[in-house]
Amino acid sequence: MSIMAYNGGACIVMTGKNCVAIASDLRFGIQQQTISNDFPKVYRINDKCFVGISGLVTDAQTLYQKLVFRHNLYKLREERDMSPRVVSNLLTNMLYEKRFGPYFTEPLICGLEGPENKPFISGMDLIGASVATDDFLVVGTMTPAMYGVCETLYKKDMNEDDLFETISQCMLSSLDRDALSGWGAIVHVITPTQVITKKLLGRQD
Amino acid sequence: MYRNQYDSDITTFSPSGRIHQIEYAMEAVKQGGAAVALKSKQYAVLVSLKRSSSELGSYQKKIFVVDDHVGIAISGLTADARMLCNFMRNECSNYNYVYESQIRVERLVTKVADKHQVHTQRYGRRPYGVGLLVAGFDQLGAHIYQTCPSGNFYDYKSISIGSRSQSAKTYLEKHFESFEECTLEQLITHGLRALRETIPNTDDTLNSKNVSIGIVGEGQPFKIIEEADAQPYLNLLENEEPVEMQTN
Repeated sequence: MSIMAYNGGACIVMTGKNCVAIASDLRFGIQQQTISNDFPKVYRINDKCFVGISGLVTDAQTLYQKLVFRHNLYKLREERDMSPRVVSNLLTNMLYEKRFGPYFTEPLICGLEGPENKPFISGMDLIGASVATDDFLVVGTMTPAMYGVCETLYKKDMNEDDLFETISQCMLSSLDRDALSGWGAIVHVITPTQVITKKLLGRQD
Repeated sequence: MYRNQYDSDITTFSPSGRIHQIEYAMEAVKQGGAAVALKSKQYAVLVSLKRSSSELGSYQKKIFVVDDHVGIAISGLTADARMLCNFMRNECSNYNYVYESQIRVERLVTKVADKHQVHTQRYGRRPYGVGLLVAGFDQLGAHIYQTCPSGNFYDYKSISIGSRSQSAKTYLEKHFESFEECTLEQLITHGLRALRETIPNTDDTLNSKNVSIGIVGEGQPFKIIEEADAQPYLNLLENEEPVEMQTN
């Protein structure tokens, strides 16, 4: 079994009109055994930037903690928060540093960039090959299913409520097709004024 | 003079058992702009006088944020201070990364003092020419520490360093017993009054351009108050009569 599928998990990011959404499932398991049904894979960096890290959980946690370390130092020196583009760049750097002994994680970054709050999403593989798009990105153990349903349901320039609906439906449908992700999902919708967080109740299996 | 034979190397003791290079480094601290630190039960406050190289220039930064619960005021070689500040920030973040909690102020200060000491014992490395006033708040309460180029550090109730700091120390010695129960505003006012003592009569008084205030305490992450934000506190100062030094 692949090391990236050892713990299971799934993450989706999507852009809307002046908003972005990020969702992850809540399962934490060790191969077939489920340990926790309350383990989100989305982490907050600052109010305008969230990071979703799938893959091996120990590496995801460590990567997040190192990212917080770097963000804190950045804030002390520059006296401002890191913008999502900068976080993305930093992550690619951190991952490539470990090119020959990598973190087994595939992070997704989402946020609102700059004073105009332009939606920004990007994703990368475990050694930091990154791509930034303007619609959606998926990572995890069931990417084929997630790609299918996201392609179908995604529309450009959705407002917050539609975006929330779409990303939730994509998440819940994909979870049902995969044994290693599931047990509900958590969705964060980031707008210029607030962050709305909702937990979804799916099939508990 | 005798002194000159034994003072060119950090690794040479003088016949009287002193290392003159360290003492010269402490002189550099005494030449820097004044800084005052004081604490109450719940707050620690730093107040400092900024200098500018000319009327055209800006005033040099004297107070730095190190972490949410610690900040420093510097006196001496600013470039050396920046290195130490960076080091302290790194140590705080590192501790947070490993232990997921905030480093205690005394532990951080000990690390800085050890760093100073390394430069007093190795050939070819000069001591840092800067003294720090560290203000912090942790589980044990509010703290004020002073670090020296010698590698010593001292725990204080209130202290002042830099040029003409003796006048500020005299003010603090007269009033320190009341600091424990002071409110934050009273504490800042005491600090400003002490700082005012260090200004020579020929210069400007304290104004929002040359004063920098740092506060930290219970429920208050370390914050720097400068420029316009400092004006209310300076106004409090102006409304009172000039302080008469009591001679009992």
